[in-house]
Order: sequence, then structure tokens, then C-alpha cells
Amino acid sequence: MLVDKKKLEKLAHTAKISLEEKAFADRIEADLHNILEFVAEINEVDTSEVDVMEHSQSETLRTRDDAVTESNLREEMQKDIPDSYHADGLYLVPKVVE
Amino acid sequence: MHTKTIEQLIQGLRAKEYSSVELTQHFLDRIAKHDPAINTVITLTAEQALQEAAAADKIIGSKDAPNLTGIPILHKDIFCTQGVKTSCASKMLDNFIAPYDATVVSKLRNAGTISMGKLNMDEFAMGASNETSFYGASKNPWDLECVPGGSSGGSAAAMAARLAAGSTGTDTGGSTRQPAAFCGITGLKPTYGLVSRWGMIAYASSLDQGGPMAISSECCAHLLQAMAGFDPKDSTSVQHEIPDYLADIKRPIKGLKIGLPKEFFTEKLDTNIAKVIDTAIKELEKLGAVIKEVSLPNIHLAIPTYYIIAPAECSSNLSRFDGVRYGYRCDDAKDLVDFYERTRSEGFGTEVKRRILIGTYVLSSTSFESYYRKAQKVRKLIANEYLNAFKEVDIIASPTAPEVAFKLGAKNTNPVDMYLRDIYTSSVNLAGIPAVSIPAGFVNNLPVGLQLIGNFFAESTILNAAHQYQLVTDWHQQVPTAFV
Repeated sequence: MLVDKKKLEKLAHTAKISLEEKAFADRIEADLHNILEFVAEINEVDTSEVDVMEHSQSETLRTRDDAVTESNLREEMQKDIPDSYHADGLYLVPKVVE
Repeated sequence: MHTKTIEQLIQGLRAKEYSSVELTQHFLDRIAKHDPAINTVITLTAEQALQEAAAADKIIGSKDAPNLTGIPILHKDIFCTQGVKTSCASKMLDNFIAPYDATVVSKLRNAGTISMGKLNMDEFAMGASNETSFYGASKNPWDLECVPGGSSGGSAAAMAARLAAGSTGTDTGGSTRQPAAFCGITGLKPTYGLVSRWGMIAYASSLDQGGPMAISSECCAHLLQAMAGFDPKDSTSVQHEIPDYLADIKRPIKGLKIGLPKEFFTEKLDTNIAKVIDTAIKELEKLGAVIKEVSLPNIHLAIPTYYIIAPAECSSNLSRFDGVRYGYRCDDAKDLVDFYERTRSEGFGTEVKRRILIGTYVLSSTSFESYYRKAQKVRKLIANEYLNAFKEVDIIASPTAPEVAFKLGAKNTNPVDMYLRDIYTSSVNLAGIPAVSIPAGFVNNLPVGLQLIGNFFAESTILNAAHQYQLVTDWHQQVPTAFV
């Protein structure tokens, strides 16, 4: 297997995906193996003389002027989210520091 | 009214044969009657649409009225719509009300269109059958036991059922073209950078591109005219002069050079599909096109390359969904790690989680060079092969999909089997070039799509060939019996 249990647990932890749901955990190891085996076909071609292509437009990505274009949108951004997500303009999450 | 093209509807509105309110109500009535069978609409904004239509009626015929004033459309639920639920067909965004409009949405509104609501799709645009949607799959109007294709399956099925004058879709590996083929409509994937991605929820940012889906090439030209254009808010948007697509598609295609990649026309191609495509190519030849064989030697590596690059970008893009600021949030988290993990595990469906994990794997330090960097190099090879082919021909033609629409549930057991559906489409996204799928016939009473691929910013060329073909054929005018 290209991805064993230990590797899978590390990947899942990195991606913050839980493996607790049994139906998902049972099939994902085999799925990942099959997909990775399938995509490994790209190794059959020699690319030693080829540059990487990060996206299809060759021009350098633009930067914009360092100018203020929008005012504070906090109230607008929090208008339609559930009340339990925020208080006094701040987002609420489980306690991080004991 | 619902079988008319956008051009015919524009003329009808201007001649006061019907008002935009009447036209919009007509489509809303059709949605009420037909959508329960095909499950294409996630959110309907009927009241808002009728208000916009009433406002449109006041200016139709005046000098100030933009070209598409009063034309009712539907948006794929991947485009943010201010004040309206934008779910991406995921439980993760089931409670998300977008605080702003995507550029595509605002440009189409500025062009005068009326938005009637939001359309079903594969979750976060990851799928080729619409079956990964949190809201259940859309069905194919040609056979309700078949998939409409994906990921823009709702857009394609809604158009096949004539529920709107046009719709929007997005295409990362074939997601406007393959469902267009399965549902017998016309779907365009524009050149990367032509249509703004701002407000279009990201799946794989170097591949994603929004495009129009409608009855005909001419309808798509109308919608693209409104959607295309530079957007300073999208750093990959390209400054490119937008041609007059409507004028360009009217040119005769005598002398147009069409290439057929020998790697696409092998004994592996289904003989019935091959027959339909062959007849369509002959039709284009009758119109004056010159047919030539071309070669794309590494095209068979497009799907493996795609399924490294797209999941890598997906794993990065979807890291933003953490339950903190918006979207789904799990109950009773015991700490922050538990909060993130359960929010994401409960909020995302299986295919999305699968792609996130694949992406995390290929980006990990031990796999980065052998998978991700290698894939970026193979991507370059494939793109170069297309550019070489375009030195010899103006357009490349192929089937859009290797088969007609398959039965719901038929390909759910093996993800790789589903990925192979993108065989004729994903290389176009890797290269960043445009392609359109048009209806070209039927196999087993299900539509077959012909794909026409163009060079960078050659939307006029492919829409032109598609339009000229549609002037002498009527495949695009066929409507499934139950939806006439």
C-alpha cells in the first residue's frame, strides 16, 4: 500500500479530516492507494528538459497598488452568520489556553 | 417562449410580444412544474426575479437598456450572490449567505439579465455526475434514471428542460462541457483568465474557469459577451480586448482548418459515439472546413496529471473552511483540533475529503517532487503539444465524453473509474485554452456532444464553427418529450 495506516493518520491530521467515521475510514485507505497508483503513470515520461507550468498564463501575476479600497466590513460579514459564532464583533471558538 | 433562443427572446421583448415579467413568470411556472422531477434548483429567488423583471420592463426598448435586459437566467450555486444562499452544494455552506456578488453575477446583472436562482452541482464542483451534491443528484431530462453529468449538472439539466434562457457553469476538468454533452445543450469553457474568478468558490485555482451554458452557440455568445472581461479583483484575469462574439460567429467557415487528434480516434472509442462524431465532422467539411490529422502524443497523461494538480490546489483552497467565520460548525467541540476536524469531517462529503487527502499527500515533503512538480512538468508538455497542433490547424475536434449519460449510481464504487470520464476534456484546462461542447446526435436516445477546442482567446473561432454547424443541424433544438 502506498498509504499505510500510520501515513493515513498523519495526512488526516494535517488536513484536519477526522477518520472516526468508520464507513469513510474503511474505504479511504484503498481509495488513496488506487488513485495514487493511477496517477503515478506520469512517471513514464521523461521531463528532465521541461520547465514546470504553474498556470496557463505566462505573464507574471499582477500586483495592485497598496491603496485602501474598502472600509471595515466586519458588521456586514457577520450579518448573516449564526449568533452563536460571534460576540462583540469577535469570533467564538473552543478555549485554546488553559 | 421557453424554446426560443436568447436572440429571439431579446427581439420578442423589444417588440412587446411579451414582457419580462411574463417571460420570467413563464420560466418560474416551468420550474415549479418540472424541477421536482430533475432536482436542478437549490435556491429559487422568484420574488426578487419578478421585481427585477418589472424594473426591466420599464426600460426595455430604450437607449439605456443593456443588451440582455429582461432575460431570465439561473446561476450555478458556486457563484456568490449577495444576500442569497450560496452553498456550492455542500453541507459546509448550507447556511452561507454570500455577503457580495461574484463578478460574473454582477456583470450579467449589469447586462440586464434576471437571476431566478441557484443551480445544483457536484459538491465544490468535484464530480462528473452530480451525485456528490449534498442536495441529491440532479437527473438527466432525457432519461430520469441517468446522471446529467457534472459538475455543472444542474445547469445542463435545467437548460435541457428549458427552465431558463441561459445558465452559468464552471469548468475545472470538463464541468461545463461534459454535462452539456450528456444533456444535449451547448456549454463553453473559456480561455483561463477571460472570465473573472472573483466570487466563484475556488476548487483548483489554476484550472477553474466560469462559462455560459445554453441552448445554442449563439446564446452562449450572448452570455459570454457579458461575462468576459478584465477584473482587477482577480489577479489571474487577463487584459484582453473582448471581440464582438455575436458578429464573429456569423462568418462563413470556408477554409477553417480542423484537426483530429489521432490519439482521440482509436479503436478504444465507442463505435456509436465515433459514428456520430464522424457525421458531425463531415457536416463541418460540407460547410467548407478542411480536416487534418494532428497528434498530441502525451494526451493520455492528462487525467493522471489533472488528478494530482487539481487535488493539490483543492487541499489548499478548502483549508479555509474551518467553521470559524461562516459555514457549518460542529456541536460541542472538546478543543480546537476537535472543532476543526469534526467541522470538516461532518461538513464535507466523501469525494471532497478524498481529494483533500490526495492533495495533502502529493504536496507533502516526501511526495512533492515525484508527484506535484512532476505533474506540473507533464502539464507543460501537454500544453506545448496543443500549441504545436495549433500551428497547423485552427480548431481541434473530438468527442466531449467517451460515452453517453450513464445510470445514477453506476460508477460510484471506484473513484478512478469516475475520473476517466474526463478523458477528452481535462487536457484543455491544463493548457488553459477554450473549448465548447455542442449536441451532435444521439446514441440510445441520449445526446452526444462534439467538442471544439481553440487556441488561447479563440472563443470567436470555436463559437463560430459551432454556430455555423447549428444553422444547418437541429440537434440543439431537440427537447426531451416530458419537457416540451
